[in-house]
Amino acid sequence: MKLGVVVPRYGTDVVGGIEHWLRLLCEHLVSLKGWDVDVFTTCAVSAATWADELPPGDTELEGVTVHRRRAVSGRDPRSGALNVLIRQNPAVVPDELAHRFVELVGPVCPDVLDDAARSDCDLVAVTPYLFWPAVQGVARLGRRVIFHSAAHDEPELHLPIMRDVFRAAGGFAYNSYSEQALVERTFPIAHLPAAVVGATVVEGSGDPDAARAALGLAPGERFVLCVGRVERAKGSHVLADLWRLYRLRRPHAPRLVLLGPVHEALGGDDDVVVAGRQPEGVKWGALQACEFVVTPSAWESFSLVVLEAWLAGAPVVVNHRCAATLEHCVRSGGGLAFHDYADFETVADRLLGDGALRERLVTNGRAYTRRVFNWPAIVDRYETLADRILTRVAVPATVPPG
Amino acid sequence: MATNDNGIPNSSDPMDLDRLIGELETDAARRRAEPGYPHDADARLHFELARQAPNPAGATPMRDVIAQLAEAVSDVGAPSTPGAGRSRRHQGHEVAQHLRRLEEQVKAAGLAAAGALAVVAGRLEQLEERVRHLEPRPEPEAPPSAATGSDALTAWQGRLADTLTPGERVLYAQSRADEVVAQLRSAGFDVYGITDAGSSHRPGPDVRFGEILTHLGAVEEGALGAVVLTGVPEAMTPRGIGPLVAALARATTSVVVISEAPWWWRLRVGTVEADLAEGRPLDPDTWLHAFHGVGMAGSVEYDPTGQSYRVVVRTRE
Repeated sequence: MKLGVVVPRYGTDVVGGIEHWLRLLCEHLVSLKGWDVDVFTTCAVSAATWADELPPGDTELEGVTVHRRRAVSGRDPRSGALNVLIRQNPAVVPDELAHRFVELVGPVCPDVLDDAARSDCDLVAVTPYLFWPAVQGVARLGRRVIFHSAAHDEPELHLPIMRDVFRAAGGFAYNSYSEQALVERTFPIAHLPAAVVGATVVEGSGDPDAARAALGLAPGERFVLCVGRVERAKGSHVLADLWRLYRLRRPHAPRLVLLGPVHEALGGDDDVVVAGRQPEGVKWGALQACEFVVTPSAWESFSLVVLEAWLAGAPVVVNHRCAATLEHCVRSGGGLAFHDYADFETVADRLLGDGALRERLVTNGRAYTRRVFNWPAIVDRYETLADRILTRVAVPATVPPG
Repeated sequence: MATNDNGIPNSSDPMDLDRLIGELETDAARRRAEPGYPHDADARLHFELARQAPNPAGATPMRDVIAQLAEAVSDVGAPSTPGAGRSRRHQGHEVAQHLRRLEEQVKAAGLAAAGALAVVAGRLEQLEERVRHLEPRPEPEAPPSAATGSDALTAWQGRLADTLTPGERVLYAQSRADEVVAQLRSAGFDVYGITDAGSSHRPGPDVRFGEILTHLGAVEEGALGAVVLTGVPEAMTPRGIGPLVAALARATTSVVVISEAPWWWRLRVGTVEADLAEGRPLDPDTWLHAFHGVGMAGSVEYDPTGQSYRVVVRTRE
């Protein structure tokens, strides 16, 4: 099997996001399945600019051949302004305006698509759905495409141009069942091959005592943890308010620590510690040391933090409104959810006072993570999906486009 | 406990977990019913999440947004992909209309970028006009779903008078305005309404559809005894509720909001349409929280079927 991969950015310098996970998938397909993998990408590292930071050319990285080409244009700041318009009512945005928006979001890289189209790859993985390479590339590469859409329910998904993008793909690799349900109720593609492949995490290590020191906590101090960007859309401010109220009603409750880059200001106080961005070792030490982890976001497509928490030994509390994180908890029995303050207080009381419950939740969550999201299982699922798409590629289309 | 092929324990007995979740839900319900339970916290939680979905750009200062918008849209230019389908042309017309409405809102706010928006709206309409000359005009399509309030009104129309005080000036907006205004007048109320068509032959000092904010800003402070809102899709939205509530607090001492219940509306129109339509009904807690912020307080009442609700608030003493 020879797999092509069209992705806006690729490399060890690219940290986080679907692109990072796709690199690990490529490397494991090479090492565990013996596939040939060719990546077609740009010279960018940052999704904020798509600026050329790496040299163009062909290289090899961990057994994967990487074809890097310069983009014609990167992310134009004016895309943010158009985004405001589009979000008002995406379903009625004209195609011209939507395509212009996608161009402004970037990276516009026709050479990347030319390389992929000319290649002799059996299948081509494309990700994520919103950027120019996918919007232009899926339709061009057609039924050879394994689409890693990384979709979640945001206005851009409902742009009319997306219908043709999704309809053109050969099959779909999803992060979660909730993502699959979202895509299949939004586009008429449920008849196409699809699988929930999921993602996984690389288990790290850390020292709980050192983490407490780095976070400004006292030795042995109990605390509750939230890991991720501090911004309203992630629910950080809602969580801080909930925890302040909880501490008002439970004065002896531990403090809440928010660990992650602060994108929208949130002041710390006696109840809430805003620790900012921290090294990986501190994060893993904190995950091991905390009483439990809260992921308050209502909009996640997968949430690696939930899996990291279980591997580190922390139970999780998630927002009941978030389909992806709730799915992890329901499937694993490793976490609890809150919808309002009463749920939140009840769950927090129970977890802080019941070590056996915490331990049992972690056991469940950890088993689920290792059972479902280990690399051999993931590449097996991926291979099965690829076989189904290949079978279909070999058969002429029976449904006319339209 | 059973183990998998790798010797790792599987999840614990699912019945056990079900029992745990049941216990937690029972406990949470008990706490909600306790005196002193912080219902305000729930209102803030729901309100904050509603504000965030689906437009996280809401935190951007309006002035910056307009400036960026003017710059960006000036660069949109001509269509890049000829041969647009009928549906797309219709959609383009809707966008042009939407830009016109946005332009009016910006003008009302006194922001300088209205001219740029007008240019874009005009440009889109020109493009649509050119396409219309090339091919037969498409059949009209149904507009996006919106909560008109008409269905909800049916459950409450007979009880409107019990929330109004005779002698007070009442503004009624806007579902079936002619019918409701006539009914209230015959019952002795000093009421005027907003028509949804702006037709000149309709009776009363009608305010036109889409102008409620402008109108509330124009009346004298405290001039109204009550405002009844029944389906004002352009204002009863996550983005519209802030300016609307502020304008109401200035103009009136009491407000009645009649709306379909979100769950019922969502059930009727489908998930995707419900999430994206501008007229999506708000949770009644959102109204209460928003009014609380401008010094008004009141209560929520559902109709017996639960398909619609009425929020009645008054200025706090």
